[in-house]
Amino acid sequence: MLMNRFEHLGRPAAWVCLGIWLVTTRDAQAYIDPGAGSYLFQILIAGLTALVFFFSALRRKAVAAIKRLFGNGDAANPAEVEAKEPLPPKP
Amino acid sequence: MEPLGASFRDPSGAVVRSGGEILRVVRPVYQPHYERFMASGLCQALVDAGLLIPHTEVESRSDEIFKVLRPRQLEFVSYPYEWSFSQLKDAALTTLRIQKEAVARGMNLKDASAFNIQFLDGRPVFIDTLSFEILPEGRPWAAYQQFCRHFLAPLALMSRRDPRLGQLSRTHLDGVPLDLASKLLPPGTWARLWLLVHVHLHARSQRRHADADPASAPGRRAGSYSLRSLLGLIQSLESAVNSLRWSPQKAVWGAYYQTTVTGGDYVRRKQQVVSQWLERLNPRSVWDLGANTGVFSRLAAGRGVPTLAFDGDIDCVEIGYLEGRQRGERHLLPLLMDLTNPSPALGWECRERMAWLERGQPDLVMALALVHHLALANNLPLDRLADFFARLGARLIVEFVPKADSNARKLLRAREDIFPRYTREDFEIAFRRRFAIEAAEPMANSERVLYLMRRHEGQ
Repeated sequence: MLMNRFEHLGRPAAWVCLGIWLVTTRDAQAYIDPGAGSYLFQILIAGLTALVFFFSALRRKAVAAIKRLFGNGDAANPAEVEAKEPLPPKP
Repeated sequence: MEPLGASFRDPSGAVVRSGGEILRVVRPVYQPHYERFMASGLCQALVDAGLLIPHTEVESRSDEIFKVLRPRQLEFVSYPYEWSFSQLKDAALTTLRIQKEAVARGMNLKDASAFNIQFLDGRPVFIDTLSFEILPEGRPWAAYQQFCRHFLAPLALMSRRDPRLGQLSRTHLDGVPLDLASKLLPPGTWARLWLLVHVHLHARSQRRHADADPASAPGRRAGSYSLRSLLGLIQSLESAVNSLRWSPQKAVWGAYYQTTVTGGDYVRRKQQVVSQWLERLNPRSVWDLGANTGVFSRLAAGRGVPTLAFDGDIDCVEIGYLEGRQRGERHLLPLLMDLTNPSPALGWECRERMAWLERGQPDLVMALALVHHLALANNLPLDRLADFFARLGARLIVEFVPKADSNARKLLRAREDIFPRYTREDFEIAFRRRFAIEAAEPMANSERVLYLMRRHEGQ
């Protein structure tokens, strides 16, 4: 019955698709091993990388303000500035 | 329909070959991620920006298969160990740009393999449509280690130690181990902030916390990793990659045809003849072997013919790529390939990464000023060379460089001449076994001869 559902892909295709369906697991997320050391390391340097984000955001705002001051209308458009360096969505 | 050898790791789906086409089968478990990926506009934004391979959905009436996708088909699949420094660097920056866009739309790259990038229309594009997942809140980037191993470590080694170390990606298919990179990098890299953090200290953390439980991070609540930290991490990786540079020896290869061969007349005449033959043959695809920086490959690519320019010298491939990128060339892809030791089949069951010759067959092969290198420097008999070219393609443009030529003499100056049967006559006898010679053009100011050949029927 399952095979018939794949019939439109061709008969050998049905077997392959069935095989894929049968042998794989059910979790689609994070299938690679992040590595315990790498995972922890990101947490350890989280403060440093948050600072990177803070200062680069500050720099972007300063650049946008300077451009606005000197009448560069296009680049001063806040929406465009934000689009170039997207901010994280609200959780 | 058969699954590709490399497609077994990601439970979200599989890549299959069906009727000569590559399709991506998506499993129901990936449905929420795929729907978010499409509905958020991320897919369209990435495709519009030329960062992601476009796909169409093929009709599928099955409960067990959520979708079947038909991506734009690739002419040729290349691997990271066949890329020059700037090709790998552009691939790394493309991956990071995609991750930034993804995070901005509440999604995340769940892997950061260099094998997810291919070169399409002269630019790196991401090909794994199923690599996007809904952003897991409060968790570090699971693909951070993979990005550092696949991109940052080889780039740092190529930039700071030797560009030939890019070949480590061939022996380490899941990326260069960071402890190895840390050992091989020169001491000065400890003074560069992001190499210190993402390679050296990262490697130490891997060793120190190999058996640790991530939930027990000192002073940190599990799930509290902020989006700002994640975006800062991506930016710092971007800074690390951007800070890495390597300059090929342009002085040597840029003037190669003017200084080391027989001057401009020879090159002009050769370009003229090759152009005429390309016009006559009108090939669908061209592989230029021993292409140098791609001077003659560009004659085919300039006609809109998908052209691969293979060379074993990374300086040449780098120059060829940078020139193509600067000119916006869409049909030329320079790749690193040692013809005497080409990329083999690698990975699980030798089926994950295909051998060079399994990945396609060109309409036309060009081998200009190559035969003397293979025959005189590598002792390859002429009949074996003819067999090799006949296996590759039905049409061949090949140049014979006699022993009297100054470049051929250089190959023999430090060794005994054990090649009594390397003459133009022997060359023609060997190649006539496999090919019909349709034209032969002597080159100006040299004793070199350019041949146009057609493979015998049934071979």
